[in-house]
Amino acid sequence: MTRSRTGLPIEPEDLSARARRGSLSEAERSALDVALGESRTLAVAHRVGLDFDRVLGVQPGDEKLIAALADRAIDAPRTRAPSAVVRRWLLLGVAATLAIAGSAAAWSASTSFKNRAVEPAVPNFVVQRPSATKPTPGAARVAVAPVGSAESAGSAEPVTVDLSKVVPSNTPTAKSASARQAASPPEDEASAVFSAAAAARRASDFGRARSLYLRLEREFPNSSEARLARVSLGKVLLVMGRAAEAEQQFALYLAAGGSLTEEALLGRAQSLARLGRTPEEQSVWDTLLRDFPGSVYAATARNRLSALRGAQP
Amino acid sequence: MLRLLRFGPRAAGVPPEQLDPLLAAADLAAKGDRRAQRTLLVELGPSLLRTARAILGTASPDVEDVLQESMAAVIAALPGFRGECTVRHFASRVAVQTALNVRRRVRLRARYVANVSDDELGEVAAPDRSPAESAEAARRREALRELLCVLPEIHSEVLTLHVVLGFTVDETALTLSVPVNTVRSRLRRALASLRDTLQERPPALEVLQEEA
Repeated sequence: MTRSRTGLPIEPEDLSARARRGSLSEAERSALDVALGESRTLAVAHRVGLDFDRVLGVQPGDEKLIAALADRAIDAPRTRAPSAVVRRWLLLGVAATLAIAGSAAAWSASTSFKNRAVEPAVPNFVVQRPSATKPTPGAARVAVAPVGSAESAGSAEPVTVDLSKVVPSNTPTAKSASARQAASPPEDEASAVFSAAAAARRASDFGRARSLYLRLEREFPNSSEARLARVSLGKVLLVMGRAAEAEQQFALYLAAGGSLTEEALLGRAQSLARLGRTPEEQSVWDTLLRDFPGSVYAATARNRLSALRGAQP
Repeated sequence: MLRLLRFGPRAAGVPPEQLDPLLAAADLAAKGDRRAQRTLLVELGPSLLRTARAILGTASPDVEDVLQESMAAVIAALPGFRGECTVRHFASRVAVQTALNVRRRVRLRARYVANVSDDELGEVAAPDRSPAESAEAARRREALRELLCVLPEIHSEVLTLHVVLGFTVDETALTLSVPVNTVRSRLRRALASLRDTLQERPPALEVLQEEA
């Protein structure tokens, strides 16, 4: 058996990992101590690892949190690992984008050459620099032969150009734009907008998050993302201090129902609290406790209710 | 048959379920069995949560979001799981990637918003450590978290799996599907960066002594 630097069949890095799991023999422990004394880098890594171990234990409430989030993760719309169908659409989208970019480049090249070719049409220019009025023949044949032909280039007559005839047939058009739209199915777009909104929310860019969530509701009203967006938008509006609008969003979600009902109830109660609509707030907290007695928000609900009832005359 | 091949040489004569008790649930979950998905996520939850807290800080407001994202990502990635490592290690890697992405995204915000994580506060109250030692440990953790945003992703992953989560080099190699020597080489570079970073940032106590 190959022996490691410590003389044991285990490398020092792994001795450190196993020490953190509490599974070292006496001999291994001694070997680790020697290795830590010899390598400052290993000592730093070992110490930092222990620093993390001290604060990463299980905390009260973790079990409930994990159970609640597991349910939501299973119900949540998937944005990763696209299926074969979605991958095919994405490939089509990329192909369409490349085609459009190619067309745009060709159009740009041809119009810039066209401008050079049109130069002889300007009488003053022709008079001052007649030698510069001849376009490059090869390029003229390719791009703008009807305009910059040898006959017209040599004359001082103004040349009028119908731009619509010069624009190449592969210029981006409404038709190709609609093809691009077709290559990106609505559910993908809804998912992308939802992800962008969530990222904006996490980055505390609440204005952008709000507008993206609103766009989702407006443009994809029947998507699952739009339904979920009501709760997220409600949270964003609450942070922005727009409690009335937030309450509306949570109420809309609750009317339709869904896997985020607990969060929507919590949000609605908080919105009503901000608005000072105490009887309605109490009623929402009561609903939360009645329908979700094991909710992670149950303690919050109970505390708030007892505070409200204690404050009542 | 494929499942028997999954663990390669390690599986010789040992049923895969004995090597990894979560494998059966993972297989069912990959086929869309919701009960299996739930069981698997509840089993994996503590590891995913630990990873999210390790990378973002235990008091980060993003921990819950990252946990949920990681759970969804694990379910979505399961059909591509080839059994080169255990399900738990596979899930941890997914969580590491998710949390690193979020950590990098919110880095700018973290720079300007004072973020005292409760692990630091919890450590102050630890009976076997002085407040100075606890503060120093918090400083080292934060230095590593900052480093994760700066290092190339391949080095950040190795650093997180090995140093933060305590994977052995073998486990890290299997999780990342790379040779052991590649892990060692990445680890050497990442640890050298960590050592340099910690040297560049003197402990708070030393700064105070110098100022005095």
